[in-house]
Amino acid sequence: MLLNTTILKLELTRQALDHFCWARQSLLDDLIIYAKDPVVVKRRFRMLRQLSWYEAQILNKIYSFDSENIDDFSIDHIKHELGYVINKSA
Amino acid sequence: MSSINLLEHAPRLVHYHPVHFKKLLAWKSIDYQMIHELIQVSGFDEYNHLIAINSIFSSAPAGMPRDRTQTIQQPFEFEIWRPWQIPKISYSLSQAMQLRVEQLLSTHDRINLCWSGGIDSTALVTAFLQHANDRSRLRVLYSPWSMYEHPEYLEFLKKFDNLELVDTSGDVYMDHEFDGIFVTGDGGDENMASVDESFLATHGPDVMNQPWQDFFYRQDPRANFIEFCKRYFSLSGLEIKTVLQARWWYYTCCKTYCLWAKKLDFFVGYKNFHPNMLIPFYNCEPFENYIYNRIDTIMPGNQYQNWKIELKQYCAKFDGFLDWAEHKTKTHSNQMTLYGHKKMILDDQRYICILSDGTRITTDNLPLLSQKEFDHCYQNKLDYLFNDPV
Repeated sequence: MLLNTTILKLELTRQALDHFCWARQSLLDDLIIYAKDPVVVKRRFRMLRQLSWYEAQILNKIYSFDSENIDDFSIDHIKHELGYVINKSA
Repeated sequence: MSSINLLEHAPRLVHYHPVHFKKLLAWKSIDYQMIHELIQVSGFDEYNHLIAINSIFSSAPAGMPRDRTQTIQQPFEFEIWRPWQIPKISYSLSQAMQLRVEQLLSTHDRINLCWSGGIDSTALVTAFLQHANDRSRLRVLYSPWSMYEHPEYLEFLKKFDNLELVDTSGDVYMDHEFDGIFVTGDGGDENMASVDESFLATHGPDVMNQPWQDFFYRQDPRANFIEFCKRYFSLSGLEIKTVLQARWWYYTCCKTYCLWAKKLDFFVGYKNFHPNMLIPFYNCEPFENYIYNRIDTIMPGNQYQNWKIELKQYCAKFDGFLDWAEHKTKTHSNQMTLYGHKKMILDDQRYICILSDGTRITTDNLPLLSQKEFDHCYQNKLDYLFNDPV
């Protein structure tokens, strides 16, 4: 049976956007909590910029991705990478 | 030149991304199972014994063993830059440190010292400060975590004229490409038996003095496993009797590249990237020779606080921080690894594996990986990296 990759890509995009929203929200929350700490504010703004960059990169990759295996459309690795992008120790 | 000769010179495996690499194994119908982060491939019985040893020493083994004795068929063609050689000369610690510094100074003009604030990296910076005549060739790279770990030492470093100090946090590590080579404290743990606090907590500190055979037998009583260990340990050239000695041999011989390789992420995006630009200071002949006849002094009194005591005293003799030397214990300083992962991801320098000539095996849409995209790029060009079972 021919795999409908468009549906799989849409679903993966939806899941990825969910995670990006959550990550962005968490950084914005920090901006409110630490509003009086200029160092944290600077770091979170930098991270928001990096998150946007990562988001654009991943959405492009999902769009171009080509596979005949349904298991390849997993969100797991994107989730894992996202953890590094918004890691507050980095 | 025959194709066999060509393969002899083909670049070998230095590091791989476990998730992507496992996909390759599945596509090649390689029968394997995961032992924590280690890949146990069917048919490689002796190599799998090395994995079993790792599982005895660590509750969460990571980083595939690489057999420096080159006597064991490995499932993958790992690069072994420094095959094991029984040391013939004995050095003191200060001689070994000086020799290593001179070795590195003689081959490179610009030397970046990656200082995490831990014992090994502090000792290597100390060695360079003592033995480099021209300190303007040195650049100390650190992060806020180095400061948290050893704040007095940063103040101490600031007193040296011509010594460049760079805080790599924030945008610096993301945007800057430093010139020169990068020296890390890697190899220090492994050469000193990778003593692990949780191992001591589980088995008690006296475990280190126990006969390794009794201890191994309790963990894994297979007769052929114990026999293999006897044979393999004899390749050290020493009579291995205790658990501490067995640990020293195993980590020195099989694990010296594991933690180092994780730091390559930091540099994969560099224009002239080559794995040899990242130098594990203690993974060298002088240091190996120093420790070879002094294994029992690695952790006097089986006190974790005394682990690497000579290295700490070596630092204190120069910087005067006696309290630090007495009380400092190992901290897992993974800041560089953390920075490296993030940098590699945002720079889109992802890889399935890295080869010894600096080649990054990759596909356009990583972290999404499919057989179709992999075959489009490589077909069977990388098959030589996968050995057949003996």
